[in-house]
Order: sequence, then C-alpha cells, then structure tokens
Amino acid sequence: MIKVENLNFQYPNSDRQIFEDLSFNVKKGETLAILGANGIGKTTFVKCLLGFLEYKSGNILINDESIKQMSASKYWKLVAYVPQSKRMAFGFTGLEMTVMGLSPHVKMGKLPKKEDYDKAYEQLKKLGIEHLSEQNCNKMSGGELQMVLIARALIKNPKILIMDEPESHLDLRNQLKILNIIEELNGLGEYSIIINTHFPHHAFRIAQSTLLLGKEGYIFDKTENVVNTKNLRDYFGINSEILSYEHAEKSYSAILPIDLHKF
Amino acid sequence: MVKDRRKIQKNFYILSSITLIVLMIAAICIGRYTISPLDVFYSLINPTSFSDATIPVVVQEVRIPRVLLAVVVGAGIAAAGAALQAIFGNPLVSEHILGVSSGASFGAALGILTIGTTFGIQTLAVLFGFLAMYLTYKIARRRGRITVLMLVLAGVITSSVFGSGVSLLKYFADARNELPAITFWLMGSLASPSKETIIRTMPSILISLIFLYKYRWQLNLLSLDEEEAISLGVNVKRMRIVIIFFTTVIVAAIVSIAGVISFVGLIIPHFTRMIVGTDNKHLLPASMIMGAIFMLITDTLARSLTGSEIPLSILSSLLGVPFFIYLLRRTGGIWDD
Amino acid sequence: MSKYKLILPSIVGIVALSLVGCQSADGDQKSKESESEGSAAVTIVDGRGKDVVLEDGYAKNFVLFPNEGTEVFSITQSTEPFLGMRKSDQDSNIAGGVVAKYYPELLEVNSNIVDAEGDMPNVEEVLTMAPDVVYQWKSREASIKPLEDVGIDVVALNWGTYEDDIERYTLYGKALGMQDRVETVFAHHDKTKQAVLKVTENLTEEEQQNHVFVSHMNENQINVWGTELPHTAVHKVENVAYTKGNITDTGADINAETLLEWNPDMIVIGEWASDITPDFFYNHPVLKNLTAVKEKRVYKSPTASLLDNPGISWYFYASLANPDKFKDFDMRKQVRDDYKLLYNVDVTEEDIDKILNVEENKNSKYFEMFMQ
Repeated sequence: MIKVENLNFQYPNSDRQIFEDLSFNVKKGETLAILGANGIGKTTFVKCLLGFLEYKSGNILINDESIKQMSASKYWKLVAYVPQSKRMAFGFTGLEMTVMGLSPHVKMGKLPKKEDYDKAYEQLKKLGIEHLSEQNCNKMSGGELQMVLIARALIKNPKILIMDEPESHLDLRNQLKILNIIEELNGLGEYSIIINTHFPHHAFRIAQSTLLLGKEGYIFDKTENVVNTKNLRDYFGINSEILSYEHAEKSYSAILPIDLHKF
Repeated sequence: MVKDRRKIQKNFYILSSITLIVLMIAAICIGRYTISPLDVFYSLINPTSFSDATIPVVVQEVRIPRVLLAVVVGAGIAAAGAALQAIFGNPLVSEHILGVSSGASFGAALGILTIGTTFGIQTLAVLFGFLAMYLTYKIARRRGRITVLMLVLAGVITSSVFGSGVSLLKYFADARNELPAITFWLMGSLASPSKETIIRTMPSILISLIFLYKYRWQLNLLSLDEEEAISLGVNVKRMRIVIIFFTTVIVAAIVSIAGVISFVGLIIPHFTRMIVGTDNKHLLPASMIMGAIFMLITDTLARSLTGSEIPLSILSSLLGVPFFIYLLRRTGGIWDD
Repeated sequence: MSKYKLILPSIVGIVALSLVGCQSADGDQKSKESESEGSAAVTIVDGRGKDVVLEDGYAKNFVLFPNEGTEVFSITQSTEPFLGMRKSDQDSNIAGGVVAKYYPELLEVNSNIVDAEGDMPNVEEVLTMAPDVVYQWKSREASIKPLEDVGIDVVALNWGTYEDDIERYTLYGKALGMQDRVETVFAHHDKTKQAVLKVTENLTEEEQQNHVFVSHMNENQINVWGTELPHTAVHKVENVAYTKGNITDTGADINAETLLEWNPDMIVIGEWASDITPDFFYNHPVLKNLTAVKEKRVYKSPTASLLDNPGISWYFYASLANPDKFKDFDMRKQVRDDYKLLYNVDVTEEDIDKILNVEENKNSKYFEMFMQ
C-alpha cells in the first residue's frame, strides 16, 4: 500500500542526516508504529511522509505510484492526517470540525451539502461521540478532541491514516480509548495506519510492524522483533524487562524500565 | 441541541434582515433636510409631482445612494474582518490592525496628490494595501509560523510606516488646497462620495464580497494550522492569496472613498460570533448583515445629529469601544466562543 | 598610566569652558553698555499677556512663523527685515499672486525655519539667522518654548476673533517700531468700514442676505466656515450677511443635505480652493437645486488678504449681497488704492482681474459691476 524506498533527509542548513536510506512498507490492513527517542526525527519523518518537508532523495510510493507525481488533491483523498489535539484559534463544534474532513470532495467556492453533515454525524456516531457534535472543540477534553480529529480523518474514507502521537498528553483511560479505536480500525482491514508514538508498549498493542529510529540507523521489522530489551537499551538507553500477561486468551505486553543504561 | 443552534441561526437571519430593511427605510426618511416619510414615498414613485424639486433630488441623489453606501461599506468591512481573522487563524486581527487601512490610505493620499481620478486613487489604494499586507505578513512570519504577538506587532510597524508616509505626503501637499483634501478624507466619512462615485466604486466591493461569500466555508479550513489545513486538501497558499486579494480590494475601495473607518472590522465579527458561532458558513453572511446595520446606524447618526458631520471613525469607535470592553470582560481575553 | 590619560583632556575641557564663560560675561557687559548708549530696551505685551523685553530696542528684523508674509510686508513695505518665513506661505499664498509679481524677493526669503514635519521650529537654523524677534502663534506653545529656551525673543500672536486680528497686526508693527504705519493702515480700513456700514446698517431684516462661506469641497461633502469667525469677512461688516446654521467652528464639514436645508441666498468659495469654482456649483447634480445656484449667486472670494487688506472683501460681500445699494461704488478703484497704500504697487487691469477672480466669477450674477 505505502512503500518508502531509500529515503534520505536532512534540514537545509544542517549537516546532520536525520535519516539515511530508509526503506519500509505498510500493507493494507496493517499498522506501523514509529518509535524513537525524543528529538530523533519522528515528527520530521511524518512531515516528510505528508509532504510538508521535502526529502533529499529516495521515493515514497502509494499503490506503486510515487507521491511526487501525484496531484495534491489525489494524495489527500488517499491520505488522512490526524494531528495532535491542541487548542485552536476558533472553537468550531464537533460536527463543523468533522465535516471539514470532506474538504477534498467539496469544490472551491461550494459548501458541504446536507448529506455531508449527515455523514459527519454518522461518523461521530460510529466512534460513539455523537454527543460532541454541537460542543465547542476548545471546551472538549484532550481525549474528546482527539476523537473528533480521528472522525474528521476517517470521514473521507482514506486508504492511509497517519497519526502524530495521538495518545500522548492523555490520561490512561483516554489513551486506551484511542488505542482501542486504532485496533478496531486495523481490524477492519481497510486502512494502512502509521502512528508515531512515545510508548513502545503501545506498539505491541496495535502495530504489526515497527520502525525504530535511532541516531546511527534504523530498524524495521515485525514489532516483536523490534521492541526487545536489547533495542530498548541501544535506542532509548534504558535497561528494562518486558512483561507479558495473558487475559481472556489475549496477550498483553508491558515494558518495565529498570534503570538508565551506562554506555 | 442541534436544533437549538439551527433555530438561533435561522431566527437570526430573519430578525436581522428585517431590522436592516426597516433601518434602511428609516434612514432614507431621516436627514437634515426635512422631508416627510410620505414625501419620500412619493418622490420614489412620482418624482415629477413636486413643487419643491429639491425633495426628490435629496431622496434620490443624496439619501438613497448614501444609505446603500453605508450598508455596503458596513458589510464589506465586517466581511473583510471576518475573512482576515480566519486566514490568520487569529480573532484579534482586522484590516486596521494588520495595517491594510494604513497602506491603502497612503496609496489613496498619493493618488489624490498625483493622479486625482477615482480609478487612479483606488488602484493606488489597492496596491499599497497589498504592500502593507505583504509587509505585515513578512515581518510576522518567522520559521514558517505566525504568532499572535508577532502579527500584532508587525501590524503596528506597518501602520506606523504608512502613517508616517501619509504625514510626509501632507508635508509635500499644497497647504491651502491639497492638504485639506487629504485631511478631509482621512477622517473617514460617507458624506463626500457623490452618486456617480458610489456607482463607480460599488462593483469592485460587491464582486469581492460575492467571492468572500462563496469561499466562506473554505475560510474555516484556512483558520486551522497551516499543515492541518493542507492535510484537509486545501491549497493554502493559493487560497490565502485569493482571500487577501479580495479583502484588500474591499478595504482599499472603501478607504479610497470614505477614509479609514476603525473598529468595525474587529468588533462586528466578534459580536456576531457570539450569536451564530464560529462556522464561517454562517459567520460571514451574518457579519455582513451586522456590519451593515452597525454602519447604517452610525452613519445616520453622523449625518443627522448635528449640522456638521460627525467623523465616522469617532462615532464607530465611541460605539465600538463599549462593545469591545464588554467582549473582553465576557471572555476574559480568551476568544474561544 | 590610565589615570593620567584622563587628565589632559580634562584640563583642555576646563580651559575651554572657562573661555566660553568669559566670553559670555563679556557679551553681558556689552549689552548693558549699549543699553546705556541710547536705544533703550522696549517692552511689548504680546498675545499671551507676557512682557517681551527687546533689550536692543525695536526689532530691525524678524522670523515669521504665521503664514502672513504679505500682511507683515504691508507694514514693512520692504523684504529687508524678513530673515525667515514659512515655505507653505510662500508656495500657497504668495507665489503667483500680485504682490509676488512686484516683489519676487518675498519668495527668496529663507524658508528653512521648520522641521521636516512642518510643525516644530528648526531652532538651530533660527539661531543662525539671529533675528531680533520671532513671531509665533500663541496656540503653538510647544513651538515657542524651544525658541525662548535659547534666548530668542518671541512675540506670541492670537488668532480667532476680529479683535485678535487687530491685536496681531498691531503687534507686528509694534515690535518693529512701526506703530505709525499700523495706524495709517487702520485709518484706511476704517474709512472703508464706515462707508460700507453706512449702507448695511440701514438694511431691514428682509433685505439682509444669508450666505455660506465654503472653504473646501469634496463631491458631496462641504467644509464651511462659521458665522462668528473673523475670517468670514462678513462678520466684520456687521449686518451685511450672516451664515445660517449656527456653526461656530473654524471649519465644519457638512453634507449636501444640510446645505440644501440652509439654502443660502449667496455662496462664497474661498479663493484657495482651486478646484472649486462657481461653475462647479452650477453643474453639481445635487447643489444645483440651491436658490443661490439657481440665481447664479456663487462667487469665488478675492485674493486680497483679510488681515491687512479687508476692505476689498468687505465691499465684495456687501456689494454682491445688495448690488442696488452700491451702484456708485467703484471696486476697481478700491483695489488700486488699497494696493498702492499697502504694498506701494500700481496694479494693472489684469492684476485687478486676478485679484477679483474675474475669470471664475464672470458667469455669476451681478459680477459685471466689478468688471472692466
């Protein structure tokens, strides 16, 4: 579905190669987690994927078509981006916010139709947040707003969903809500999901494969092969244990950080 | 809940439109030249029947054009304010704060001194309005981001640059003839444009208003973070230029015939937002109606309270400031409604 | 070592300072001497009510801040005492006028007396000119102080009423020791005034015309000058005409409707409004409904000054308001006499046409009585 080949990136006025020869792919119905220490270039990478930053060389392909050749409108019909939830200048209502997701299908100088608003309401309902439809986004909790942003991304039926740390800054319950939604979406088999996260154990929960970014290089593989004590030591600088817990025929893994690793 | 909002919006349109129409009719009947409402009516249907030929002339040549001008100017400035607030994602801006009015008035003053024709004055006003907007934008934008503080400061800088420009022009102007012309018009008044000038200026304002109106929903998207807006499939750069173009044309056209009218562009969208909400789908047309009502009331007071015209900028600030204070107090300076 | 570095400059400084101190002490002595020599100090009460003491006696030269170059010239009849005057006065009031035709040197007077903003005095330049006295508006207090701070004598002047006009013209002359000349001019004014009043005082209420004085116009917006103001020349000749509407401001912006409501018998346009002519009114889509416009009684005011040369204006208004009462009056002779007395100029017929704005007024009613 989405394939990245030999991607290189560095900031225009800097020598530091943020990433070098990066290659991976995400199939339809799969989730990829991007992990890495703070400042390693996770956000930069996501911005490259979204075309906000230009990469130096390499290629990004969607359905074997290079995004460089793709028109913006085609690209944004395929790809949806869920930003981190934060306060906005104007407090739109949940419904108004959600219907904005249909923008690629609304012609310039036209308004969304009544069906579009109905569709937006349905989308909120699907996520179980229809009660937010008339609520001011700036008066919602972080979790609620994140849900609305997800609804806004899903409403246009994208093929690829790119999420930038959707669960950070949320409390445990809201984190779980978001993770459940991602799991559900993944289960539908319709989307390729790329999620940028701070938490390695979230990768366990939701991602089939993981991209671990580091200073010297990267690892891309199945999640269980990437998130292990060795990599956590090499890439995050911590000594840890991975604990597993079986519950109702499902296995849950958690990372128990023990202490800082001395190199 | 959903129904409540819709109901408020629907009621708002009905009520405000009726108010506007009633006010327009009243405004046509009010003025320094005493004309009974009945005579106003007759001068519209049968202007030749009057023994005092002045009555139909006052109604047709002076009052009706001026009432229409007030309505269009009010709607235009309010729409421009709402649109600028959207594209800068910042409820604290207006054409005045961003320095567009300043730039346009410099252009218009230059036009008065050098060209003198309505078209020339307007063209220069538009050009310098753009230049001002560009300057403010360039100064405020750092590392691809525009903060509220930088934007307001950049606006202050731009305004003062063009403000000094106007002072400089005044210095070069002939003190007995050109200087009064410039000061005269800087004060802001709808008194001076004749029917012909109004007819000549209207098209550019109306066409721009139609475009802003058509693009009003896209304004919502532009008010989000730039990257967020792009991800929603908006060609942000192009849209911004388009919106800036039309708002500048509106502001410059108004400045070139009526001078700088402050406060309306800031206050009206705010006030309207409190009634109909943030969605520009409703906010823009509602602001236009509210702006028209506000300007109509202000201008009717300005021209009929005393024998000499009260400058509009004074009246609109006088009426606008209490509003502004009320809004500030109500929202505690956090503009989230 | 570094300590000593400072000593030498300090010594030089001290020496220099004390030298300057000695010099100024010398200067003081000199001025005292000259006082005792003869030209005694003169004290003038200026427009502020302040005693301005001219140590060296009457001023022999001056810098003029008000835009009244020709007015002061009517006292001096020479540009010699003019050390500085305003550029805007030279450009807007004097250049192209009849006085400038005979005295082009008025346009050569140093005009570098205000800063770039055109408001504050350029103190250093004024100091270099070393004028005996500076004339400045009283209302410009902020512009007076910097001049007085450097020891320049400033005579402050009032503006507003007819009394202010009399006082100001008197002060111009007094500071220069030319009171006699001022008296002569005033006597000339009075002769005219009495002649006009003799007629106008006897006008009945119906015969009194009302007129509006237009200083500037922008399409439908009109800047008019108030009734009570001295520079609306009419006020000086009581009972000739009066403006309706009770506007007392210097300049009030009114709209076309207000003017229609006032509906004056006669409209006079300030001569400086170069774009606005009687014809402008005759062709105006709205204002053509005014009685004055219908009767073609719209005039451009004469280019004669209202301060030193008001007689022309008085006759202008009075005659045009009541032409039948001034049948024997010869305006062109009045102009000739005034210019001779005030500026010592023998004006030509073309000059008179220019002063009376014949070109712009020729289509207006009754105006033929001022024409050749």
